Amino acid sequence: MGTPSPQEPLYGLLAEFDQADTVLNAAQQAYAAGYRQMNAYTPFPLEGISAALGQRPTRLPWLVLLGGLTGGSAAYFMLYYACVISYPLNVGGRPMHSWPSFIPITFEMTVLGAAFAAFFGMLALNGLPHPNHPLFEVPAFSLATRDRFFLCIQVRDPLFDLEQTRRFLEGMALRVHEVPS
Amino acid sequence: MKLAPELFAHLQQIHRRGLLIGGLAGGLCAISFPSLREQFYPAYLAAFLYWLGLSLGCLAVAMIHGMTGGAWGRMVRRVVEAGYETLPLMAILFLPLWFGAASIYDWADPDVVQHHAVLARKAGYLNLAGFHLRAIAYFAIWMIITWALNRSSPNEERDPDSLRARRLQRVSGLGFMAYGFTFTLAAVDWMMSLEPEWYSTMYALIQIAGQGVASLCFALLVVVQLRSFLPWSRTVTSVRLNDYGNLMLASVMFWAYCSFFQYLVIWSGNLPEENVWYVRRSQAGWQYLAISLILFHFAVPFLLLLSKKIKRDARQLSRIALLLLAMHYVDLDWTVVPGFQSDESAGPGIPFHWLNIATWVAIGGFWLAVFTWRLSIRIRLPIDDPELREGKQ
Repeated sequence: MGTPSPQEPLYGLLAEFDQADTVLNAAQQAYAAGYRQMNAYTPFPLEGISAALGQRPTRLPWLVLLGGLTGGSAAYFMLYYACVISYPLNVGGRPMHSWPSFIPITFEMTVLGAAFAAFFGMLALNGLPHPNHPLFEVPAFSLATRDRFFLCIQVRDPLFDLEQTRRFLEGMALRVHEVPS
Repeated sequence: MKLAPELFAHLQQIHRRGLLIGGLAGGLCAISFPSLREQFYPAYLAAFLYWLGLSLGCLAVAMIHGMTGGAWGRMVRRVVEAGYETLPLMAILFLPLWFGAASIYDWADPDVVQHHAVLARKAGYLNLAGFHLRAIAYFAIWMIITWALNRSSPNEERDPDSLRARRLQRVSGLGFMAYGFTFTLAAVDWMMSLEPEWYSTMYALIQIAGQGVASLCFALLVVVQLRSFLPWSRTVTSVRLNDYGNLMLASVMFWAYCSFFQYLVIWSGNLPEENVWYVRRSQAGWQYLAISLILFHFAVPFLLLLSKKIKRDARQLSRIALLLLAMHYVDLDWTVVPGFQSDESAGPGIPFHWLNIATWVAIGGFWLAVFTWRLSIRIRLPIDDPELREGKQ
């Protein structure tokens, strides 16, 4: 990608691979070498890549659980308030607090709360929407949606050293691209 | 693929023990039958339905996998195939019900029907000749499905192309419809007609859901028990267990959904001829079984199966499966046995007799003997259909 100008600040180094297991292996080696500020980009979900990159499991499931519980309890108390406190109505002599008839709405609202938490929580935790990214400056990166696999080590990693990191990646990858920030 | 001789020795051992224990318990039941007729039939019906449910559930799981494919099936395909091959045994074990129908079902007693306007009207369907003919038809159809599934079961050796996979898909789809239709009628004949005035269209579906839960759990227990042997040492991985745990979660939710909605509809209508079913099952001790079903057939397994950590742990997952298999018996006991009690005779407490255990063990021993025999034959067939090959990626 042209000759690197020393003044230009970098986002990181992007290593290109053409096979799934080579990028997985590279991620494992980079983690073993001590790199932490890195990410992998693959055309399909690659099993084990998160673990290889040392990423901690996402907190999203807890958000979804919380969203579900909030939706469900809000629905139940709404029904309780409407049927018992605000507007008590005798329906066929049943008790005011007739829980079986509350269940369908409670269930639906649980699902709604969980689905909202999953969708918006996913966006928030991923930092989306994110209209531009430094990686888009690398023309070859568009292949990440087709048949190439990428591993990017970022400059902000404390171990990052342009020459050493480049040599380290070149030992494993097809090509190494510089990513301007 | 070379299978370990220890695996076959292990299966052989279960086979022999199953025959021995089944024979002993069966002998005990046979000896006590003349003096304990009253206690024998409810116990035998619940035990028969339990093991029949496992056979039919295995059939259903095999057909679902045949239709949808998926790498989870690589793990359990041969196990559920051996499971549904126990159906001929269940046809033989139906004989006590065949001959006992007259003393089990009220509608089979001409004196009762004569003085009962509703039963007289239903006699066109609920009569002994119809009961016997339909039973023959159900078992015949189930065995035809078994035969057709076996013919199109994935088998790498015989034809590695996808022709067989497409045929399996068609057979499974048609077979599933036939299973749903025949079992709905069988559930009416064998279970619901214990209380011949009462009816619910949700009833058979609850039983189908229960069979699905039980057979998924049973197949999981088998593969976890045998996971040190090939082929399971290769197929039982934490990712597959996670998928499989999700299937268990879905089946538990489906069962709870069906069960709750039958309750909700009847509770909302609150008609005396409908709600009598739940009234009978929420007094004289049966209410404790109902609460235990809500807790241990739904709430506890549901919450545990939400966790990815538990789903990926073979031992924890099989503990949940064991709990659900135990609760499946409670479910059948709670569904079937109150139907034997007339409202006047319902004393305090749930009638629990040692015959409940003896009949369950007797049928179970023979069932497991046939199952292990069929499993040791079926696992020799290699599975590597194209669908599953894709799943490896």
